Amino acid sequence: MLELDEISHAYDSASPVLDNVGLRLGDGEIGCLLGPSGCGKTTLLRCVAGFEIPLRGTIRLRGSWLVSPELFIPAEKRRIGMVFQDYALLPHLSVAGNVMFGLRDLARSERERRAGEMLEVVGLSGFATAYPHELSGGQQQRVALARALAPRPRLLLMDEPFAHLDPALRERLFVDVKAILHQQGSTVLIVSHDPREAFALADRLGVMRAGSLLQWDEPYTVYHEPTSRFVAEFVGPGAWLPGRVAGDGRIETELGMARGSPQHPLAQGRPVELLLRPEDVVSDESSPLRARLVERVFRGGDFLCTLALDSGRQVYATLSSQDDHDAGDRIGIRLGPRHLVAFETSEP
Amino acid sequence: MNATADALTPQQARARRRQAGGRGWALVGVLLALITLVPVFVVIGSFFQLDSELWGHLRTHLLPQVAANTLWMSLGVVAGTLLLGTGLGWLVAVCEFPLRRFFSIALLLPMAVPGYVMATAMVGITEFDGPLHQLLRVFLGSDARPWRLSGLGGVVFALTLVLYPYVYLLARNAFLSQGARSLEVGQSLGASRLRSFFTISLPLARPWLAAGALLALMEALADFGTVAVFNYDTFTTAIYRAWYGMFSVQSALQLSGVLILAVIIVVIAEQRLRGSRLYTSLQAGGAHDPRPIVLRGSLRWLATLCAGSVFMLAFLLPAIQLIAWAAPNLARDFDARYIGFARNSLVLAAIAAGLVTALGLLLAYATRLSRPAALGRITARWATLGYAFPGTVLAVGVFVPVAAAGDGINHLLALLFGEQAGRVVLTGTLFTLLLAYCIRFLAVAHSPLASQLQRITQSLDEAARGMGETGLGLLRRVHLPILRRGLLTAGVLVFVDVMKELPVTLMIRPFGWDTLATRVFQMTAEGEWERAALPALAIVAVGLIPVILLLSQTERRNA
Repeated sequence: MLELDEISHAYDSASPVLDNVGLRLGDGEIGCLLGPSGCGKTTLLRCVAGFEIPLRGTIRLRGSWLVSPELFIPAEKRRIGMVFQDYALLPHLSVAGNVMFGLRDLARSERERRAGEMLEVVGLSGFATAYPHELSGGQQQRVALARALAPRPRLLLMDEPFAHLDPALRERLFVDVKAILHQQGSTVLIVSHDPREAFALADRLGVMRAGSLLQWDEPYTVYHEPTSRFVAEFVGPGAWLPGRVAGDGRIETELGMARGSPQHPLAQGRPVELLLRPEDVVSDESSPLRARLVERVFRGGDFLCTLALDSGRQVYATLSSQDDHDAGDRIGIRLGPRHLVAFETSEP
Repeated sequence: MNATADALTPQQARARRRQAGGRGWALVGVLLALITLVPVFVVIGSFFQLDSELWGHLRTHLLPQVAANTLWMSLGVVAGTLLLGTGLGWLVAVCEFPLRRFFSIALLLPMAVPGYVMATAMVGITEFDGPLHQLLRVFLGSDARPWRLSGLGGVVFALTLVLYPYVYLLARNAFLSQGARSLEVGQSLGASRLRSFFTISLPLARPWLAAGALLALMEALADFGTVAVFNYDTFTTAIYRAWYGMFSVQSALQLSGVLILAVIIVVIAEQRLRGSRLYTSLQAGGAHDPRPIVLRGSLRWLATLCAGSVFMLAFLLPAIQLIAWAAPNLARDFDARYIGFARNSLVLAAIAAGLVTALGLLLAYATRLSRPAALGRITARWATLGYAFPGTVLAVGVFVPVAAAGDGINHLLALLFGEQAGRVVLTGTLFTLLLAYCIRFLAVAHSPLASQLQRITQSLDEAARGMGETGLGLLRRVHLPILRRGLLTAGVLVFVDVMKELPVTLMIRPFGWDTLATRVFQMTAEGEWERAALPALAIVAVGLIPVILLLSQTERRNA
C-alpha cells in the first residue's frame, strides 16, 4: 500500500503547489492523478519518487517510511521505477543496455536474462541491440516501461506516459500497458491530463486542482458521483440545468422530473443545478418535450449534439449516427439520468 | 529501507541540496569570466593613466594612418566575403550544375588555410620571378609590366579568400533551409526568379549573411600575419611594432585599447543578430527538395567555372605553390630544426587542448548548475568573449598583468626573505602563453561541450537516480559517455587552432620556443618563401581536420 498524508509543497513560499494532499493506493492497483496543467499532479509524483522534498507530510510504502518528519529516503534508495514523459532513454546505450541500467547488483548473465524477459513482456524482443533513436515513439515508450519494471520496483510512477504518442496508437497502448502492469502485479501511480486515458487505465482515480486532491475514488464513482462541479466538468462533457429539489431522488427541471439516486443528500425545495451528461439526454420522438438542434459533431459511432431548449439554455446529447437530423430540426427528447449529480446553486 | 546510520531528515536533505548546487558553480563561472576579462580591463584601463606626450605622438603620427588602413581593410573584407560567400552559397544551395556536390564541400576547404599562409603563397606567386610573371612573359613577351600583389589590394584579396567560407557556410544553410519554398512563393505571386531572389530569398537570409560577415570582420580585425606579410600597417602590426620595435608597452596598450573598442562594437552587433536570427528562423522546406533551378547550356558551365575559379584561387593554387616550393627543398628543410618546430607546436597544442577542454567542461557545467541560472548564462557569455580578442591585444593584455603579478610576488618574497630571496619570472614562460590560449580558445571548447550537455536533460539525470545511480557513478555511466564526442571535438578544435595561432605565440612565447607558425612568419618576413612552405603545408594539413569534422557533422544533413 502507498500512503500519502498531508503532503504540502511550495517552490517559493508565496505560492503553494501542493496543499494537504492524502491518498491510499493498494498493492497491485493502478492509480491515476488527473488534472489540468499546473495543478500539482506532477509535483506530487516527484515527491513520491524522491526528486522533490515536500515541505510537510508523510509518505509510506508497504509500511516503511519514505518521508516523515525524521526521515527522508533519497530517490536512488527508494526502489521506485519511473517512466518519464520524454522517456529519458540513455542515448548512448542500446535498448538492452537501457533496460539493464538499473540492474547493477545482478551478475551479468542474470542482467541479460532479466532484460530479455522484460523486452519480451513489452513485445520488443527483436530490438535488444537497437539504439533509442532508431525506434518509434511507441517503441521508445515500451523500452522506458521495460527499463522501469526490470529492477522489480516496489512502485511504478508514470508521468504523462502517452502524451507524445499519436491518438490512434494511444488507445491501443492503454490496453497493452494495462495488461502488462496487471500481469506484473505492479502498483502504479500515473499522472495524466486526459480523462479517457485515466478511465482506461485506472483502478483508482483522483482529480486535482490548484494543489488540492478534490476526489480519490473508483473511476466509475468519480464520473457518476463527482463531489464538486470542477470534477464533474473535468472528467467529461455536460451541461448544468437549473432545477428545484422536489423530493428524495427527484429534481424538477424545465425538461420535467429527473429521477435517480443523488450523489449526496439534497434539501427539499432548494434551488439546484443538475448535471446532464450527453448520455443523460435521450432522443424520443414520442416525447412532448422538444429541443432545437443547434450543432452536431460526427464522432463515427454517434453524434455529439448541442440542443437549445425553449428557455434558450443548451444541453448536450449523444444521438445515434442512425438518426438523421439536421441543424434547426426540433427533436423530441426526455431525461434519462440514473445518477442525479446536482449542486445547490449557492455551492461552488 | 528504514532509518539507517546516514539517514537524513527532510530539512537536512533540503539543506544539502541547496549547498550542492548553485552558488559554488556560479563562483566558478564568475572566476572564468574574470580571467577572460582581465586583458580587457588592463587594455581599456590604460586610458585612465594616459601618458599625454606619448598619446599625442601616437595620435598625430600613427593613429590616422593605422585607423584609415584598418577601416579600408575591414570594408574591403566585408564586401569581398559577402560577395563571394553569398553568391557561392546561393549557387550551391539553389542551382544544379556539374560538380555541384564536390564544390559544396570543396569551397569550405580554404578555412583550413591561415591568412598568413595564404599571404605567403600569394606574394610568392606574384613575385617578379614567380610563376605568374613567367606565365605573363610567355604570353606578352618580356615587356610585360612588372606587377605584384601588395598593400591594401593584397590584404583584401588574401583575407577574402580565407574568410569567405564563414559567409558561404551560413548563406548556404540559410538558402538550403528556405528550399524551393521561397522561390515558389515569389513565382506564385508573379515575380520572376531573379526578382524572387532579391525580394524574398536575400532578405530572408540577411541575418545569416550579416552574422557570417561579422565573423569574417572579427577575424580580419584580429589578423596580424596577413597584413604583416603585405607590409600593410593596421592596428595589429602597429601594436606588434610598438611591442618589439619600440619596446613601448604603453604604446602597445594604448593602441590595443582603440582596437578593442572596435572589436567590442562588432561583438555587440553579432550578439544582437543572434537574437534576431531566432525570430526570422526559417521553416525548413524539407531536406529532400530537389534543387529548384537546374541550369542549362552554357550557364551550367559558367556556374562550374565560377565555383571552380574560387576554389582554384583560394585553395588549389596556394597548395600547389607551397608544394612546389617545399618539394625541392625537402631534403634541406626536413631537418632536426624542423622536427623541433613541429614538436614545439604539437606539445603546445596538446597541452592547450587538454587544458582548455577541461576548462570548457568546467564552464559548461557551471552554466548548467549555477543558481541563479541567469548568472550562469551571463558568466558563460563573458567567459567565452576571448575568441573575439585580436591575438596582439590579448598578448599585451595578458603580459602586463602577469608581469605585475610577478613583480608583486618578488616584492613579497624580498620582504619575507630579504635580498637573497629567489626571484620568480612569469613572463616568457609557458604559463603565460597557455593562459593566453585558454582565454582565446575557451569559446571553441565550450560550445560543443555546452551543446552536448544540453542533451543530458533533467529527466535523464533523474531516470539514472531513480535506478540507483548518483554522484560519480552518474558522471561515469551517463554524463561522460554522452559527452565523449563533445570532448573529442573540443580537444581537436583547440589543438588545431593553437597550431595555426600566430600573434600570441609570436609575442609571448618562451625564448627559443619557435613553432611551425612562427617559423612560417619568420621565413616570410625574410622573403624566403621556399623555406616557409614546408611548415605552412603542415599547418594547412592539420587545419583540414576541423573542416572535415565540420563536414561530417553537417553534410549528413545537407548533401
